Amino acid sequence: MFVPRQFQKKSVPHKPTSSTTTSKSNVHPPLLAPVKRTEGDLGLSRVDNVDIVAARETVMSLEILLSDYSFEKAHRNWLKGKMREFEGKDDYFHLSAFIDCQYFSTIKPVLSQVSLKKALIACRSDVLELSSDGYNVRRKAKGTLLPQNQNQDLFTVYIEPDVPTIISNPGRVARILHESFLPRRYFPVQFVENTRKPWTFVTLSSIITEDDMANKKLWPKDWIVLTKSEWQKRDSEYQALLRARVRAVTLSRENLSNRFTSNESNNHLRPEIVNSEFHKIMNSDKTTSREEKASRHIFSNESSFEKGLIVRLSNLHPSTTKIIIDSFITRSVDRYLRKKREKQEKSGNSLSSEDPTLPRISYIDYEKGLDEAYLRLGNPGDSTLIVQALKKRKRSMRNGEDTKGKKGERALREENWVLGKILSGEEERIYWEKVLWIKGKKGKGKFAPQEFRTGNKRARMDSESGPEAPKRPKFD
Amino acid sequence: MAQYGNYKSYQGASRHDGPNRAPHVIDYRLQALANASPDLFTGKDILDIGCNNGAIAVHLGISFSPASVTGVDIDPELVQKAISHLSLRYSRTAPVDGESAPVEPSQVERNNYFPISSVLQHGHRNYHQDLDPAKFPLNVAFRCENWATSPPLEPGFYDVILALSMVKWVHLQGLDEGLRAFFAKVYLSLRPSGYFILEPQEWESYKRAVKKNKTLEGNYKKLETRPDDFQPILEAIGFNLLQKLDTSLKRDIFIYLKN
Repeated sequence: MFVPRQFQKKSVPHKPTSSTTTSKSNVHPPLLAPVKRTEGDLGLSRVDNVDIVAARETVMSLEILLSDYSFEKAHRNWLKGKMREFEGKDDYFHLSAFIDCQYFSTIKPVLSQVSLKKALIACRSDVLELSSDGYNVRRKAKGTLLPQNQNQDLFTVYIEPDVPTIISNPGRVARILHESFLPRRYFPVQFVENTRKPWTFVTLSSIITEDDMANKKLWPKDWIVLTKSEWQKRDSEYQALLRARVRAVTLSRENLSNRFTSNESNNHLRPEIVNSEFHKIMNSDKTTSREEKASRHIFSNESSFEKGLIVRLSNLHPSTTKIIIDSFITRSVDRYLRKKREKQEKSGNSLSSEDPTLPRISYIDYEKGLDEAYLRLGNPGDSTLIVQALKKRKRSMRNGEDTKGKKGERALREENWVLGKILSGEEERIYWEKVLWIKGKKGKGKFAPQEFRTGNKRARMDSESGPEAPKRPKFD
Repeated sequence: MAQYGNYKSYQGASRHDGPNRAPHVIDYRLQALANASPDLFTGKDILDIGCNNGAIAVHLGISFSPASVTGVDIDPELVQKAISHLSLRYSRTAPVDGESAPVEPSQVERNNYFPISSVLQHGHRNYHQDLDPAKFPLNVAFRCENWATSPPLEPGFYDVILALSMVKWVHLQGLDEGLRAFFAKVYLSLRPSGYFILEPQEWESYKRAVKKNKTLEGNYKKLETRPDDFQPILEAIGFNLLQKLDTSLKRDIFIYLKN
């Protein structure tokens, strides 16, 4: 009998009977019932052309992103912003939220929602749950990584993998760890610091025992693995070793300048003296003398500095002054920004409110007669701006009072325009240490150890308001 | 263009066995050589020709207890890189007694005692004045030199000379005569019963080099000797093939003995 579509029973799923199977040609196709679709219907159970290793790494990256550690510490705010309600639960994340995430940005070919979905289907996760449509994901169960009063560092290891580039892909780090012989209680991996350096920190799901650390066979081959506390200890030792070296060099310099006034033998460089210096620093808690306290202060963590704040200027006119340097730099940056603005306006791009303003020069470290100076800026952005402006304008100083500069053919030919370079690495560290030595003397010279009173003019950055640096010994 | 194979970011062994390894991982070729002959490098004076960034020379110096290792390269920039690499590897080693090592780590860990993060973040460590000149790092030195053409300054000084993946460039630059002269100089520089370790590039590799660098095309066409002919040439000079290492990787390594 003919039954109009409007009246067909849509809510009753078709159940094949023996009669229907015998006469297929006379039977209508099974009615689609509005029941929950199965994984098979959605294609969630079958995935073709998937690189299983890559898919596994992708899923592990997702697991790290949605780990307890991420929720509690690393990506708390980011995750809260991406959470959405789906199928009656409010803790789902749409896969599109992860596409531009830093964890996946380095993966080639670029990931899409479909590829993420395929990865999650190909490699089932124990901790993640995929929605029925396959485009939303949530954690199966919320946990708490850190029990009360538990030190998070106990869960964390420092690693140097055999292939440094894997660190840019946290999922790969997790996958390789997972394929090692580590006990399963350490998984899933909670967090991998995503860096472009040859080392990183990995937080696991359980406290790392000493036995497991000592058993190198458990860890991936050719990896260097240390507990975070061991890493901190060795890092401190290394810094102490460097400081002992710096002190030895300082002592030798001091000794060199004193040899014209003193008949004492040069025993500062003797190994036992250097070693005793090292011990003093290493066992600084036991030191009691004021001088040692002062030196400890200078070399303590307080001496850490913000990077990228020092710009070295070269090719200055030897008879210039700090005021002229200030004017020269300010003018150069001003012109640079103005030209840039004009260019942008011409091309129709209006400037936003966040466009750079003139830099704030905190201090100019310059001595008359030199063609070099050091600028200390308020923030690294200002340093970059100054370097860019000088590079673009290529102005040389014609005389000591030249605030304008000239971009002549000769200057270009001889490349003697005023050049800026941001100090970095060892150079920057040494410069800051000199500054901090002077800082140690500032207003409290009686506390400063004798060996730091070097009178180094180059490092007289912060000593303007303090006592005058000791005069150099006369050699004539 | 690297006309002498002086690639600035040479990937070394990684070209043959996969991804680029961290500096603390020993080059598979050295490991294969050490497996084949455990005392090949111990207490020996070693020359690494075409040392590039110094990775091999530094590994030899730090892990195989040689008397001395000299790395030579034609590119001054690479020699600077090699010196810096040596300094980095030294900075990682556990403090010597004179530096008051707080803990005595196991011998295996000594070479990588300080984390690379410390060295890269805080800077390299200066050489300690009490270092033994016969031990690492002072047993490793680098110099800039076109070794293939320079006069032999150290005849009969070396126990082991390494020419790993570099002969092609000598061949392409110096033609067949230059290659023979190079082998003869190696022979002259070795002590009696010294070892010459050769990892020649295959002929296909020559073609690739010329494709990248058209200035070598003229020389390439003049070449009559092929890598397969090296053995008779070396035997004619006075070398005996001691062993051919099949590392199951891209290139074979030959160990020749000076008669």
